[in-house]
Amino acid sequence: MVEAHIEVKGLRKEYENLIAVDGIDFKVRKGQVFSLLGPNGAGKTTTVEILECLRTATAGEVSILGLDLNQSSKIKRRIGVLPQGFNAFDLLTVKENVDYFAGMFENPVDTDELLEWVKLDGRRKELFKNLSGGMKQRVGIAMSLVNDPEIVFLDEPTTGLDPGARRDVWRMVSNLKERGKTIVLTTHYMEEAETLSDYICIMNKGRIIVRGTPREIIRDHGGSPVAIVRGAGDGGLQALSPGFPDCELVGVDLKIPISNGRRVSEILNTLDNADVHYDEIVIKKSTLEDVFLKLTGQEFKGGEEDDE
Amino acid sequence: MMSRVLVDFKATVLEFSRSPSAIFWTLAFPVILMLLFGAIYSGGGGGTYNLYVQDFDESPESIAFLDNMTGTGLVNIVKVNTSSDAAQVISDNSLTSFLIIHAGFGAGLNNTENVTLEFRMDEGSQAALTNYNVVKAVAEQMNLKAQNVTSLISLDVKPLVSDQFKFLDFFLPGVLALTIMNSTVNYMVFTIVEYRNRGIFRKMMTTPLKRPEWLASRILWQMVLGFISLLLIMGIGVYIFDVVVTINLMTLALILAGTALFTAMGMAVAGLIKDEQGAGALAGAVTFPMMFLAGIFFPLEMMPEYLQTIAKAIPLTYLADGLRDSMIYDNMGGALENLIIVSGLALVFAALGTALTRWKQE
Repeated sequence: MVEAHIEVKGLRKEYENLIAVDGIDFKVRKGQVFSLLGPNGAGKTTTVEILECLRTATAGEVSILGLDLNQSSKIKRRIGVLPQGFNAFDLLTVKENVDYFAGMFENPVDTDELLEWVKLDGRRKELFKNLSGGMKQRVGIAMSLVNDPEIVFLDEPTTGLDPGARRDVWRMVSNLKERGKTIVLTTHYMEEAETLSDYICIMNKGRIIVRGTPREIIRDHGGSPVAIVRGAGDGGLQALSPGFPDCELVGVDLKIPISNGRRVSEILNTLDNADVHYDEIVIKKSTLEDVFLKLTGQEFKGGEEDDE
Repeated sequence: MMSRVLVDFKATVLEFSRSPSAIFWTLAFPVILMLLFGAIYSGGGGGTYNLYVQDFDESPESIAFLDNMTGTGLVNIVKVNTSSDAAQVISDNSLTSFLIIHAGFGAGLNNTENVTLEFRMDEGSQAALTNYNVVKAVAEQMNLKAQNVTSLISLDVKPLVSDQFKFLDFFLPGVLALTIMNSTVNYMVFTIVEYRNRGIFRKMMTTPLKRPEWLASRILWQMVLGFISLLLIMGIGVYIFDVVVTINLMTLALILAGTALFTAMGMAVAGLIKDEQGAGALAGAVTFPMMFLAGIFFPLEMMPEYLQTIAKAIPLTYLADGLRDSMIYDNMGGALENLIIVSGLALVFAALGTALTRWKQE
């Protein structure tokens, strides 16, 4: 039995006219990458900020590394945090910024090694304000590790980054996991959660609506894969609808849910027999995006707005 | 705990050293103010006005008369050639007053006859009025002398601000108080708003750093800046303009209490208004009127009654008064009284500032 690093029971956070977190429970195991996934306003950031001792809970029990939230100064020494929309001192250099936060702890790690690890050793003397978004985020990751924490909280670490910088962050997260850190990630990028996580809780409107490993979630809630016949148009629809009543025309593409491999060949045969022209056929497996759509009936919208 | 304060202090100094606007407002601004006012009030004979004189008499009496006027220290006699046309000289030099001593002035005095001086003036001009008063006073003095009663009454003309204290003496402690206020209030307002809006406080909160530690480091730095301003302002005052200033423990205590007061006031302003521009505007709205109403640029006694009442409600007044008491007037009782008021106000604003700015979010 692997020990639980975080245990949350019945956590609630109410504001004057809003329930941000509506009674949630979860456990995060040691060494796991745990993701809270959800659209803006789902309550992800509120939840992690309570765990980081930045906010107080209205109700519920929380245990972090066996400590309750009243022992915040002990907790703070054993966790690392990359806050949402992270920023550091504009007029301090990369190295000075990381050293500042290292200086807040009693036994900090070697900051030069950290900067090497986030590939910023060549930018040590650059002012923070002159860095690109991706580099700033890497400074933030380095800062979250200055106290060699057991749990690292990364709150939307890739929001606003270009795809290249996003992948850099992903590599670092995987590397941290290899080094045995427990990671709590919040994101509104489905792909990010799917790629990085061992365990996912999907949140919506303050509640966890589904949980499990990415595979389990997709298996149990994702529905069947879909064949997409591009460019088949009306002719394709007429040919397929007798045998596949759930066939759907989207623009000039056809979407046909398939429950197993057998039907893909049926689709191909039907199209060939009717002599329908098409551009390409792709089989798309179900994603977390589909899961979210199916569970909530709403389109999943990522975005740059703050999660509050 | 101490080490965290020092780490933050180091970052504060680095940030300051790389911020041209901070350096300008805390260090260059008071220097410019001192040099500017120093030049205005000490250049060309220390607050004197030029008086253009045409002396057609050139007798020992007329020369003595002019010497007496120079002796008051209030006017600077500029002799105009008797061949020039007075009206022309007046218009060429945009003069507001002009004195003509007609021929026969000395002889008339010696014969105890009535003699007349011709004084042309623009009655709306302050400079002309001063010159007129000097001419009148010196003339009266010589009248008395001519009537042989000098031993009974002698008129001793002195500037209104007593001789011993020049305007710059009065001005220097005011500039120091003003600099402490401007530097500290603006620093606190802009730093707090920036750190809050950019999430830097949030990041700090995830470490063992506590708010009192952060505050201690920032106040410490403002106090250091206060002492640096003191040295700069004094250096200019003493070495360039011969101001006689003393620094004592009371001066230092006032600088510390003043810094604490304005730090707290900055916190309160930053706590009231969340966005950067609004907070900047409120900081200006708080400091700007204080700058003019606290008797920094001119003595409170020169202001109308109702403005003096307002000045008494302004915190900066007490810091400036206290600094003047301790640095110029050697009035330790007065300095202590002001120190107590400043410290009391600091406590009030500290309570207000702490209540208005919370690190922890709801």
